[in-house]
Parts: sequence; C-alpha cells; structure tokens
Amino acid sequence: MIQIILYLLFSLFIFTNSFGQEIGRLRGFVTNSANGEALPFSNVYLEELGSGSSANERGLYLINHIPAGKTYTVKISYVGFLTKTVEVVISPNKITELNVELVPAGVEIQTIEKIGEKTIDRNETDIGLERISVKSLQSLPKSVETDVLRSLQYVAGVRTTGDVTAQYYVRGGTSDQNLVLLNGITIYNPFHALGLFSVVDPEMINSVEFYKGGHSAEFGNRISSVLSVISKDGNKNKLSATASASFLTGKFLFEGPIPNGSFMLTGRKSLSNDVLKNFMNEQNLPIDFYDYSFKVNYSDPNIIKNGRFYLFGFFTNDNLDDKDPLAEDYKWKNDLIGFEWIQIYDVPLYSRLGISTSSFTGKVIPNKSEYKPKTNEIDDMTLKFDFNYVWSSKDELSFGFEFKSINTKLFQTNAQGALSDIEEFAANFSIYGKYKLLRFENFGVDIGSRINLTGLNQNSGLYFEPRLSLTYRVFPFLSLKGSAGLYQQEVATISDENDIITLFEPWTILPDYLEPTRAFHISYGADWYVTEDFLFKYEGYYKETKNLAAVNENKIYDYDPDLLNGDGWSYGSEFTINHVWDRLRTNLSYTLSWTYKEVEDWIYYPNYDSRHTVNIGCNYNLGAGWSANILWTYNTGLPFTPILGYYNKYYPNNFFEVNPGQHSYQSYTVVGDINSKRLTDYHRLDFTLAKKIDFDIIKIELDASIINVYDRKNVFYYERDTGEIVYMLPLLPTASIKVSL
Amino acid sequence: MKKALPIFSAMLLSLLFSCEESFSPKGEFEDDYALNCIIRYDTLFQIASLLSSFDVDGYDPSMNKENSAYLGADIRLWYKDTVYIFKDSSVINLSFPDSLLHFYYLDNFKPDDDVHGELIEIEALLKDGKRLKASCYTPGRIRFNNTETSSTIPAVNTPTVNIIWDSEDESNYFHGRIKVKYFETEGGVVEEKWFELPYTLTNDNDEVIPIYNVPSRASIHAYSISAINYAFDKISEGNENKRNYKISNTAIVEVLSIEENLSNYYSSSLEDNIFTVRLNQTDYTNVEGGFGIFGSLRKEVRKILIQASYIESFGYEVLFEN
Repeated sequence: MIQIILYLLFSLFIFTNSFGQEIGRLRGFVTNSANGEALPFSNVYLEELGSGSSANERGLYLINHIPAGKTYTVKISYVGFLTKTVEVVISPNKITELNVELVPAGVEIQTIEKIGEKTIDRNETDIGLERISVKSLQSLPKSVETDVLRSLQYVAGVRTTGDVTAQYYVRGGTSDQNLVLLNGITIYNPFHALGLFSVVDPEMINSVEFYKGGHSAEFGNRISSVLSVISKDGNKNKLSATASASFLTGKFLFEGPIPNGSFMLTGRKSLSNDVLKNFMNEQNLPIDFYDYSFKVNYSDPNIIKNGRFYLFGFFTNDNLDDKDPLAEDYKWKNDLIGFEWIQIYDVPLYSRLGISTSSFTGKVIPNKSEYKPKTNEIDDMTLKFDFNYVWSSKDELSFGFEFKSINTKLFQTNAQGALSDIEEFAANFSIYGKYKLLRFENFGVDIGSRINLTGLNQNSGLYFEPRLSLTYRVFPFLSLKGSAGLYQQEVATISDENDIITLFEPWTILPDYLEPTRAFHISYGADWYVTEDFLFKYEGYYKETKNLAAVNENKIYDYDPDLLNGDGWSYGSEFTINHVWDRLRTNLSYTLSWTYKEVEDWIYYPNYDSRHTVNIGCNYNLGAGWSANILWTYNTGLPFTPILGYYNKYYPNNFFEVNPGQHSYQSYTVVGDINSKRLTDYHRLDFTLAKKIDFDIIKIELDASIINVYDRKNVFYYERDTGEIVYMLPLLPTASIKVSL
Repeated sequence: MKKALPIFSAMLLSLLFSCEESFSPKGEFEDDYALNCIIRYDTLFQIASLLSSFDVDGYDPSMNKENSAYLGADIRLWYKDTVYIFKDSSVINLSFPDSLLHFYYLDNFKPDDDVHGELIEIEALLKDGKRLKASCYTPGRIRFNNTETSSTIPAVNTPTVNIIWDSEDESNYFHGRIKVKYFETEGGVVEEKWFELPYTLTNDNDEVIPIYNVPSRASIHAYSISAINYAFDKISEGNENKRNYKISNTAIVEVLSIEENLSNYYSSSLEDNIFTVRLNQTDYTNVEGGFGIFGSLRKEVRKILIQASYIESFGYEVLFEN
C-alpha cells in the first residue's frame, strides 16, 4: 500500500518534471565481479556528455537528464579495479537500468585508475566530508593492526591525545560528541581494550564516510562529527573464507551466497596481551576481548521488486580480569541488532527503513577490593525511515523521520565518594527534510532542517536544526564551498576528559537540570585542482558550543549534580594536498587550530588542543605485489597541568586510631591551573612494507610495519606523584598475515 | 622506483638517531598550607597539624629532608560559643628518630555526647596573616538495631553474625569491627591480646586471605562463620597447646560514624585503578585557603556474647566476663 501511494506521489513529480522532454535516466549498482560487493563512491561517466555521477555508499548510482534515444559510452571506474566501458541506449522518459561488475586489478597493476574523477559531481555539497577507502585504511602503518578509528587521526582537523588511545576529537569537539554508526546503528562504546582499538574489524568494512563538521540534516543527536561505516554484504558468487593474525588478535571472515542473497560472518578474539605492554608503560594489561558479527541480505523480486532486506548483528565483549581477588574486574559489551529494508522504486526514488537496537553495558565488579560497584546500561531502540527522490533536473529531495527511545541506568560512586544513581527513559521523535539543488553544473546547495518534535531532555522541546551546505565551481579547476548549521545533543558521557585512559565511561541522557548541548558550525573552503593529479584543499571552520556537558569535578555529595553546563568554541584552518605521481601517492595536511572551554567561569584549553598539526603520507607501488608506505606526523605540544610543589597529605588509614599527630602522611603533589603548560612537540615516522601473493585459490597478504622509526620520545603524560615522564609508543616492529580462500 | 629512493633514504637516515627533548612538568613553586584536625568523641585530647608545601630538586618528594611542619601559628576552635586555643608541642618521630613531629593540641575538649549536628569551627592564623578556616558538624549517634543484630557468636538463627545499626547521617561513612580479647600464656607469662574478626575470606593462589571491613556507607556488617573460624584458628597457629589460650566470652563491637567531610576526604584519598590515567586530580578539602581536613567522628560500642561451646570447640579455655 505504501509503495502504491509513493508510486502515485512520485509519478506526479516525474510527470511534472519530464513532460515534453525527451530525456532519460541511467541507474544501477556498481559491484565487484569477484564477490558481488558494492563498490561505494565508484565513478560512472558518460563520455559523450562529459559528465557523470558517483555511486552512493551502497554502490547505487543515478545519472539524470540524459538526452534520450542515443547510444552512450559509459565508463565505470573505481580505484584498484579495471575500468569498464559499456555502450548503452537511453530510452526517453524512463530509467535505464545498468548494473556493472568491475574486475579487480591484479597485484601487478602499476597505475592508479582515475578516469572521470575530475569531472564528476563537482557541484557536490561535500565540505567536511572524508571518504575513506578500505584500501587506504589497509595501507596505513599499523600500530598492531588496521584500525578504522586510529586512521582518523591522519585526517586534517582530527586530534588524539596520544598513540595509546583511539579516542578522537574533531575540530575541538569532545569525544562523546562523535557519532559512530555501523550500518546506521549507533555504537555507544566503539573501543576495545580501554580505548586502544576500535571494535569495528576492518575486514567487515565496505565503506567509510566521515563528516568532520557540517553534517547534513539526516544525522542527529551529535554535535561534532559522524562516522558512518557500512559493512560488506557477503560474497554473492562463492563461499570464501579469510583468516588473519597479528600480535594481538586472530580473526576470521566467512561469507558466501544463499538463494537470493548472501551472508557474512566475522569473528575476532584477542590472543595475547604482550604487545599491549608497549601501550601501557610496560604494565601488563590482563584484558580479553572478542567481537563477532553476522549479516544476511535477501532480495526476491517475487516478493518485492527491487527491494532488499538485511539482518545484521554485531556483538563485542571486553573483560579485564585481574585474577587478584582483592582487585576489581571490568566488563564492557555492545549488542547491536538491526533490520533494513532498502527499496528502489520504478521512479527515481530510494528508501531505507531501519529498525535497530543498540545496547551498551559497562560494569565494575569490586570483588573483595575497596572499590565501589559501578554499572552503566544504555538501551537504544531506533526506527528510521529515509526517502530520497531525484528529479530529472538532478535536484534531490531527502526526507524522513527517526524515532529513538533511550533508557540509561547509571550507578557509580565518584572519587569523592558521592553516589550517582540515575535511571532515565526518554524518546526523541524527529523529522528532517533537505533539498539538494544540483541542477546547475557549477553550483550546488544542500538546504534543510532537522526538527526535533520531542526531546530526550525536558528542556529540549520543539527545536529546529537548520543546515546549509553549498558549492560553487568558479572555474573548472576551482570550487568554493561552505556550510553552516545548528546541532543538538541530548546524551553525554560522565567521564573526565582528564582521564586519558579510563576504564569506565558511562553514558547518560542529559539530566533535566541541564540544557541540551547545542552547537553552531560554520565552515568554508576551496578545492583547487592544480593539475589532474594534484588537488589542494582548504577548509576553515568556527564552532561554538553552548551548554556543553562537563563533569562536575566538585561533586561531593550525592545530591550534587554529576554534570555542569559549560561552553566551548574552536576555530581553525585545514590545508590538504593530494598528489599522484606515477606510482607514488602523496597526502599532506596541515591544521592550524584553537580550542577553548569555559566551565564555571574558568576558560582553559582542553587537553586535546594543539596549535599546529602536520601529516605527510606517501604510498608507493613497488610492483609485483609490493607496496611501501611512510607516514610522518607532527603536532605542537598538548596542554597539561603543571606541578607547583608538594605537601605532606594526611591519610587516615585506620579510623579507630585516627590522629593527625601521628605518621600517616604521604607526599602529595600540588598542581597548578588546569592545562596551563604544554608538553613537548610530538612527531613520529612510521613505515610499512606489504606484499600480496596470489596463488590459485589462496591469496596471502603479508604486512610488516615499524612504528616510530627514529624512536622519538614523545611525552604522553607525567606521573603526578613521582614526576616520572611516560612516553608514547617506542620503536615498535609489528607484522600481520592474512590468508583468503 | 628511482623517484621513491630519496624518500626511503631519508627514512633510513632518520634511523640513525633517536631524539628526546628536555621536558619539565613543573611550574613556578607556590607556598601552600595544609591544616588537619579530626575531633574525636572518645578522648579529651584533640590534635591538629599544620604543614607547609615544599619543593625538591627533581620529582621525588621523598628527597625532601626539611620538616614541613609550620610552627608558631595561632589555631583556635569554636564550639557552642566557647573558643578553645590550641597549644603546640613536639614528639620524636618514630619513623625518623632524628626528627620531631610537631603538632598542636587541646587537652580538655570533646563535643557533648548528646548533641547532634552542632557546628564546630577551626581557624589557623599564620605569621604572615594568612588564615585557614574550616567547619564541620558533629555526627549523630548510631543506634544498634537490637532485633536484627545477632546476640551471639555464632548466631542462632542466621548463617552470618550480623551487626546492624541506624543513623540519621546518611552521607556519613561507617566503619565497624568486632574484636575479641584473649590471654596467651607463653613460658609462664600471661599476655593480654586482641584479635579482630574478618567478615569473609578469599583465595589468592591457594592462600586464604581474610577480608576486613573498610569504611563505607553500609549500615550492616555480616560476618561469615568460616571467617570467624579462621580468626579463632589463626591466634594459635603453630601452637599445639590450645589450653594456653583463654578467650573472653564477650566480643566488643565498635562502629564509627565518620562525619561527612571526613568521609569525603577518605573516599577521595583512595587510589584510582592502576590502569586509569588521570591527568588532573581532585584533592578534596574543606579547608578554606589551603589543603587538609577538618572533621569529626564518634564511636558506639556494644558487646556480643561468644558461646562458650564455640570457644571450647577450638580447644581454648573460656574467660567468662559476662
């Protein structure tokens, strides 16, 4: 019934738009011939028109407004695949379907395919958007193994506080302001092992989109960034298996076809903790973790034409078991289950229905220790329906709604002994709509708004989040871009940003004594193709955040608030150069930025504020399956709170004998104003050498990396009580092997 | 390949050196002071300490050989419209016999037993005119729950020996213990001793470890019989002649009510988990103008009968006191 109504509705649109015009459309999926996986963001180019389009994250492309009745030469390209050329006749007033399978280039390929890249979607409103290919992820030096969250630190505008943690901060935002989506489902704790690694196994990834600001209206409830990861569907052609091992984990991927679809199973388990000592100042980290996932897709034209159903599950578990009965244990887990219905209609309409649950549980089990038990649970149920309609003029209308109910439970005692026992249940119902004006070849606008009809926080009420993004191509080689928008967030973690490694980072709905956190972003920039192989990008930004949720450091009594409202603002400029020269691909980025926070009338730099950041990466294809990658990273020192002196602090160890005249005193450090000094500058060079070997049915990928090649002593932090300086990763050789059948 | 050569050469050259910049986590030293005073209900002798901050070369504060006690301050206490002036004194520091422990004291003060929530204030006036001030309220009395609290060891109707109490001070920590008096005869010499009962046992690499109560907000302590057995066994461990031990049939139950500020101070003094790396610290104090703690605590005591047959089951003699 819904289909019929939508069909009638949009038949009207198409009729209105196309009456009297002899035009047609070209639509289809671009997939990998080897396994049927979608090739996201691949390019489809019509030679005769000198224009084309890029596929979306699911490999679906649509080219509009093609003069009909003619035969066109279509070139389809994707990095790492052989370009395919197809002749196609475009019929008037209808959609011509063209699904294309691209053949992977062999390991001998010497050049990088780039056909059509320059001219396609030059009016795309994509400021702040980074598309990260799995190939580029895998070519990065690995501190132990490939990690999608760690790879973000090489993106201009993204900061971490060290080699040890994969926690990231985008354009001055806090880490809990980053939305991480896996197949559209929120992951609340995307880290294994105290934040050292991401839970998302790169083997399961098909596409990664990262919005570092100015994200459009379909994304809500985070004010800083969005990382959207789409997993593979599973091999549609044959059963296949991949196993790999590193110094840290062993993992497998099993995939294959089923009638009218395919499936994928993945699993990963920690094997050894020895390598983690390098991250933990030679301290043994008795942690054990695993994750596993499944995904099944099904499409039967006899049930619904052009409809595809997905069922997805993703489960992670971390245990820190100290074996000492007098020490506490820690447990974390994420459980994600989602159902998706992707529908392509006979008109150029695309819809996605998603129903999902995402739960996170974190526990501190005191055993016989003096620690207090802590528990955090978050249960998120989401129903989301998105529509995207494309007019023949190329303009697009996207709209949808999202219903999200969240239940959070938090029970913990803070360092001062104050208890937090919070249970919140609330629901957010929001709608969004946006119009992408893409009809002009040199000009594109994405304008829309998210409208929160009900909020998780009582103070939210009806709230509009208008968003605008535009692109103007001044010259064929130069595009100017800009975006602005309002953003709202109603959940936050109660964890201190000064805990650079933390075992318990609980989520809660912002309590009603706080206002919801709201931010204003403005960004502007330019893309300049100096040559076809040389892209220079500039992006500047200003971000202002009101009612930032800051942990109340002075919560002394149970009734004191856990969180306080603060403010924050940040601004900066990001310069990026991407250059391809024969077999050498070079990426260079420089970021100049400032970040400030104000909590209780005190203005300070948060501990991830760095003035200058430089990343230089070079990837060289040596041929015969060999490739080499070097990466140099530099940033000016991060802020820290200095030691001002010491005093002998009284420790009442035994209250039955308590007496300040006795000897229960230990030296204690007096510290200065928060983050009022700077660490030394950070720099590090990493090197990777990789080799791919193809046998008949077996593919082997060998990979060896050296982290911190010149053994730079980068300061991570200093021990407050002893002044001992703790350094980040030393010179660290690592290796991994992957075998695919 | 030729084009990449310079890059890889530069990388190899960089292997030849390792670089480390000098870094000091220190800022400019500032004079700070810590005032500590805990008013007890079970003594007339109340003690305060006043210490000044210090700096050392390097980062190891134990290298400080100077006595950081601050002498010559005027410390006063206000309670119920009466001002009490602390005197100062010194004793030999038992940990460092070459040095003295300096402290301030009152030798005839304790809060009234029957008054709850009374304000006590303290102020230290330093020689340069700097003042450190703090206040606290006296904790209320603990009332044992006579119905639910076990009357004997072992308990008659419950598997554990339970000590349960009520208090109006919900923000306070409490610390309870059960101690037992006994006499040990060794070489004809009789010596009075005490032992404390653990509330439970745990195992670490096949070694049994007794666990004792620590301060918490809980108002119930439950002692397992296996933990009590362990403590009774332990006093004569290695001595076959059990008749050398005479155990009192009256155990003493003590419960402390730890005033709110002192509870917070204690709680914030517990160490973080070793894996947590916290760059800043929260040093709880209720002393205005400095560091330290001003708090109070009171103790309630009751007796609990130890069944004679239970004492005798270990081979010990029974000292009947009740």
